[in-house]
Amino acid sequence: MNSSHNFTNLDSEENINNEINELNDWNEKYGIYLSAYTNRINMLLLEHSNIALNELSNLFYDKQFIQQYKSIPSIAYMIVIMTIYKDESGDSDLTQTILDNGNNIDELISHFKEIKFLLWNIEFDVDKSDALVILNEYIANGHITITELTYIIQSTSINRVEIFLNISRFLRFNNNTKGALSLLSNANTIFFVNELILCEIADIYFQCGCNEVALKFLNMIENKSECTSCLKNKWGLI
Amino acid sequence: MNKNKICFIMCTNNTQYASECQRYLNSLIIPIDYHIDFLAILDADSIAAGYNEGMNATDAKYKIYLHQDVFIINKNLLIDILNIFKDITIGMIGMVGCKELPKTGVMWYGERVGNIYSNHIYNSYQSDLLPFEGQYCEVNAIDGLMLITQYDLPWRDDLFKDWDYYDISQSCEFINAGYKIVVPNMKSPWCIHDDGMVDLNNYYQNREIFLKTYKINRAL
Repeated sequence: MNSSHNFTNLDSEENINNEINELNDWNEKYGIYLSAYTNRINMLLLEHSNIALNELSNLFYDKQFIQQYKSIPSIAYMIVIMTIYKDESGDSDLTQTILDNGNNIDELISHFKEIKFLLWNIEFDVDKSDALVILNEYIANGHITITELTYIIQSTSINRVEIFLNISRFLRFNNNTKGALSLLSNANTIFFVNELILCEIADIYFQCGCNEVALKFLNMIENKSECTSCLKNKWGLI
Repeated sequence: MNKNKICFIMCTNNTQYASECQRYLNSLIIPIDYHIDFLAILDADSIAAGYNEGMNATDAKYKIYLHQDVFIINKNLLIDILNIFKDITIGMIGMVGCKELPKTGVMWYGERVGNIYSNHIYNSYQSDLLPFEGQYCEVNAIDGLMLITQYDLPWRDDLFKDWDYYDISQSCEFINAGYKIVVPNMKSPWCIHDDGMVDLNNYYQNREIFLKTYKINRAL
């Protein structure tokens, strides 16, 4: 949770003047280059060659660039998008990456928001079934990767464990066990030793007949609750 | 004025947000005998001008002014606000507000009450604002992400030409007209605000206009 309790010491004209000066300074030093950067990024996205995407990646590895522009919404979205792309481009199995979803910043942001909105539809039960179906289709046809989905859940969802479980169960139900396992594996990296996630992974392995692997995951759980007992009971281990 | 009508009024410049916002509105429970209306003001000159246009275009007694990037997740919202508006001294309801507007007029430098989910691109979080007892907390300024009224007062589009301070100004207008402004006691947030990053480029100029115009009654 973010706290707003301790800002009262900033309630002074002196502080406001400092903020105005900082804003003006930023506009003078960095703001004037923003449209040039935006144009260049758009050009590279449109070109989409290996050389162009390499230049784009290098720009988003540049710590100074990130530091100065991370609070500009379009660049902030691109920082997250390029982080996803970096992970995706390291996976030789993938034929598509997040950058295939748009020819410019606006199109990529629109794509990102579409996924973000689907995740909120699932989380807050607004056309939830439709959202799950759409997401499943997008994963099945390669429109989004599990890597991308993982990052967007991380940046978007409130109850992230619940969302990982919800989507992975839907993928399983639709015979995408590999996708479900991959998503849960990412979740397990983020929420290390989370009982709900480990039980879900174990359940998949039990279902596949890989009991030893399943037990390995169950043994990772430090404080076992009813969830683990239920799973063991389901698979005749108690 | 139709006492059984609730109108949502939204200034929008983005169809993706407008349709998503509408999706959440469609999922709300509609109180028996009430009609719901929705007005999207496209490409308004300012938010205050857009809200005046919307306010004058509907006969609904109850108006819900909301940003296009606000998604209402409390499906019982309409019933909840009608309960609060049974107190006819309450003129306006917000999701986040200040009991005491800071002397600089910058709301987030004061102690705020309310409950909201926000997304700032890199992450989502639930704002941890001051807790309080009772059905609602009386405040003297509310955030413009969503403002709900049962009386009409003109928005000061003569003063605020951008997208800042129209909300605190409207709060002052309601208080000056003798109405109370409240923030409900929400056990969990009633909306998500996909507010991205704050753009302060016009904010401080509007702050000057605000401070010159209103003698702030800071404490309730």
